[in-house]
Amino acid sequence: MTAYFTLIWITIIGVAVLMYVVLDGFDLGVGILSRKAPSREDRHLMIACVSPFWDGNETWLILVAIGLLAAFPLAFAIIVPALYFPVLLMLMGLMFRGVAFEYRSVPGKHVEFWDGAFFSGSLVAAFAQGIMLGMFVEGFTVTGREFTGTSFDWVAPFPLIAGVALVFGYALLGAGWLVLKTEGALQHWARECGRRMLTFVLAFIFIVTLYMLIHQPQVIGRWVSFPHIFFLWPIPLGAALAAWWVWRSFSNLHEIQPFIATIVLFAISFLGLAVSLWPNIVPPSIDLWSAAASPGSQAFLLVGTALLLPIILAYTAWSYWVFRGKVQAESGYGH
Amino acid sequence: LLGVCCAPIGFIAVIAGWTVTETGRQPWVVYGMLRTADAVSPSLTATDVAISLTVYVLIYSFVFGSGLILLLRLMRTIPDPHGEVQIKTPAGESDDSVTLLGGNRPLAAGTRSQDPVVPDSLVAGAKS
Repeated sequence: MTAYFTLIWITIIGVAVLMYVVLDGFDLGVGILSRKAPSREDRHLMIACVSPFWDGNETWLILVAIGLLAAFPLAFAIIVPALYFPVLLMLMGLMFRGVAFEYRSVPGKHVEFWDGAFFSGSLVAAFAQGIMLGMFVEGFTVTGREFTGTSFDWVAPFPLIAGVALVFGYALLGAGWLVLKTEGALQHWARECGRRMLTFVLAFIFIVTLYMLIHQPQVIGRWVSFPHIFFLWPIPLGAALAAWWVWRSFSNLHEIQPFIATIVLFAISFLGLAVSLWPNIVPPSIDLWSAAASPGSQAFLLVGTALLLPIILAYTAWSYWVFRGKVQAESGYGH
Repeated sequence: LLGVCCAPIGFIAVIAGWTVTETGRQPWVVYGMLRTADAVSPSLTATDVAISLTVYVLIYSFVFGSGLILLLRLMRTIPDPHGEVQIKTPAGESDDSVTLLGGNRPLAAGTRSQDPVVPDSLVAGAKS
């Protein structure tokens, strides 16, 4: 039984990462798109689209960080110092956009400034998270049980490209969300944004895949070797189909499908990354089992998590249900 | 006046208490188990810490400073029985940039919540 704790924990953390990326991804994405909003009124509406949800979405980020600390302390001890400045950047970004929600609703001449803070905070947070993803894919410099790189390892081509990639990825999610929550001219605008963002996202998926295949030969081995290929071929095929579905749904009159299709595209890409990196939790050298906490600690934490997760999922679902439907112009922030 | 002077006391108490626990525990980070010197991330340099601390101090000062200014501005607004609010602005400064967002969020208290964000014409257009 204890052998399964590690697998259960990595599943919880993996699902939490995906939940975070999809949920906070769309509200960061709306923030990124808010810069290009057709008008001030549209920007108000766009922010109203995410204001009931954004803070709850960040719950998952905390679950990921604390889950990693509790269940895989060695991974936490290596990854967090390696991501020191990207984490700093992300927190600054999240702080600015978080207060911007409140500050922009106070009457005065500073509203435009805090709208700017909302945009740039969203952009910086998304970029920083992309950098983290890029570093994770590229691997960390580890000697023994310690991170032996520097705090500036993230200043490298691949992490920076991944940073830009995630900005476009989140913008795509944001566009899907806007199609779902808005109507008329703004919705039409969101559809156009979505198609444009998808082109960029596909280009970046292509670059990242190519990079991994060239720089990490073991990844090719993972995908094409017998018998893996029998189980894995649906993943690239699914990604291609999902991309086509995203394009189609943004183009025709579907309202829910663009967002759902984008989530599917994200989930499949995430699965593809997980397959490539498995079973490492600190690529390229430390696997799940050597980073795991003792079975006793993992079991103890599993009890609490098993009680809490359904509650988090339930209230998340409920809040999305309460705030379902289109955003109306009259419903400003907090109604 | 005494009340106003006492306002920061709570903050001072919290920060002082925190300082006492953190310094009192030294040289341990986990008492009796792990020394602070052994717990430091090997990759972290003094420069890194200096940079991040500076950034935190600057950003916190800015965010809290702005928050304080906005709170004071809200306290200057005079609510009237009809739900309209008047905002005192210095003479000659126009007040056309008042936001139309409202609601019951902490900082939205002084805004005119019943005004639509978007002109009716645009709403009608959006629904057609």
